[in-house]
Amino acid sequence: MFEDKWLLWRLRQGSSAALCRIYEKYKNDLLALAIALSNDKTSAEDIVHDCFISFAQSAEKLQLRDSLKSYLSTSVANRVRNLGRDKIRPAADVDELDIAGPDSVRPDRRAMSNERLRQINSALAQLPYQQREVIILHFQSRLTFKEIAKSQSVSLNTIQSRYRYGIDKLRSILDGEV
Amino acid sequence: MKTAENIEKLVKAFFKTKKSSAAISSQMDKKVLADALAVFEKSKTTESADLQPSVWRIIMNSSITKLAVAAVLIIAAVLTITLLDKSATPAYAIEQTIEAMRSIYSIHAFTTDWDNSKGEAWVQTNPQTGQEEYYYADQNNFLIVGTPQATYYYYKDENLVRIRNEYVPASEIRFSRFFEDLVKWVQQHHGELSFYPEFDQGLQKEIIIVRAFIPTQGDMKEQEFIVRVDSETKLPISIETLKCGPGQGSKSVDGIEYNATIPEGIFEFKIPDGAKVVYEDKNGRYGEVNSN
Repeated sequence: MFEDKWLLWRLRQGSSAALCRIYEKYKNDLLALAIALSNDKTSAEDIVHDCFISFAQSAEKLQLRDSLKSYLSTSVANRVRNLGRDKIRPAADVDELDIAGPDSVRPDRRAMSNERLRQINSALAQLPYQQREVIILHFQSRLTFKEIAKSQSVSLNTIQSRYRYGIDKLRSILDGEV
Repeated sequence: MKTAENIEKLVKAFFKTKKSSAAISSQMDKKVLADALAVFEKSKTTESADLQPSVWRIIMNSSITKLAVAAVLIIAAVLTITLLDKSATPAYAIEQTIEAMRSIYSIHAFTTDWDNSKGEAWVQTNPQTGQEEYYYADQNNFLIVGTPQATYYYYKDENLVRIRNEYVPASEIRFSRFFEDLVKWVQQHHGELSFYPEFDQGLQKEIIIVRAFIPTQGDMKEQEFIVRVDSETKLPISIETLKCGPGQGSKSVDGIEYNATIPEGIFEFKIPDGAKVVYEDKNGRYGEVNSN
């Protein structure tokens, strides 16, 4: 927490080293978020690019109400939303999903099988975008509901409802598959 | 039949299993950073050109500054005699810093303690008197919040709160009168104050170094401080303690932000769940409870 505040302060003082550090610190998390929301790596890379360009442009006058992580994640989420429905792919093919862990990890020893991944991936794809977005921001970017609500200028209740409906819908889809 | 809790666990595991460290392609990586740095450098030149005069203008137009001008002129006249130092940069006079600091109403500082732990502090001051009114200091496992009604000390690892039923000042130095108090202190202790310009690699610009040195006197060991002053705003940007007596504040103030908007509610201390609360007055402990 202190590091981010310190980096932002140095950035406002004009330090390019601070900008490099912020980029190195958050680039992969933001890319992972953009991929999870858009299901398209090429669009995701463009979004991360635009997000950092915009951040660098306004860095000197930036006054954050929330954490830097929350600010950057929100910036990515907003850009994905602006892509428009036709450009957001509902789900990535499971073969495109990057599986965690070194190559040496045997598939049968992974925490989750490809079949399970496929089921959840497909279930997530069936959710309305707003519900999917809250679930991804909460689990992938580890933002609190309060942070998500603030960033989208909607009430905490709205975000919690979207989350609850999303989880309920996932449950009914996955129960149906069982 | 899965419960909502099971689904949450599954989804959590799904995102954990999906490679969270998705890597940006090396070509794109270079492009993003290069473009961001280019835009940043460009915005810096245009922003600073726009901002520099306005910062100074705001300070000069402030009614508080106008009221303070007479006092500053008197101090400046005294200082001219004692601080006419050949090493001083011709572009800098200490009264510029004194004047700039008189319009400060909030200070946001990043500190390093003697054990190298990092911290953050917010101070709200009264620009007319220079006295602090509220403060918040967070240093790893220790948090202090000072308000006119009470001072709260929170020991995070012990989940212990001490509440003193009075305002305990954060510092004997008035933050927004720091230079005035520093000058007086150096004079009283027959110390030396010197200035010299230096190029700051990190900021890529020239800054003013103000060095304060107090020789050993009786039981008091020698003390030495370095204050780095922004040559444009004339405000201190960091303070480093090179030599000091035991228990004298933090090792360094690495960065200072002036008149930044104070985060809402930062001076409202909320007792954490399950914390042990000890009430104290100037005579010592007078009550103890456990919060729910």
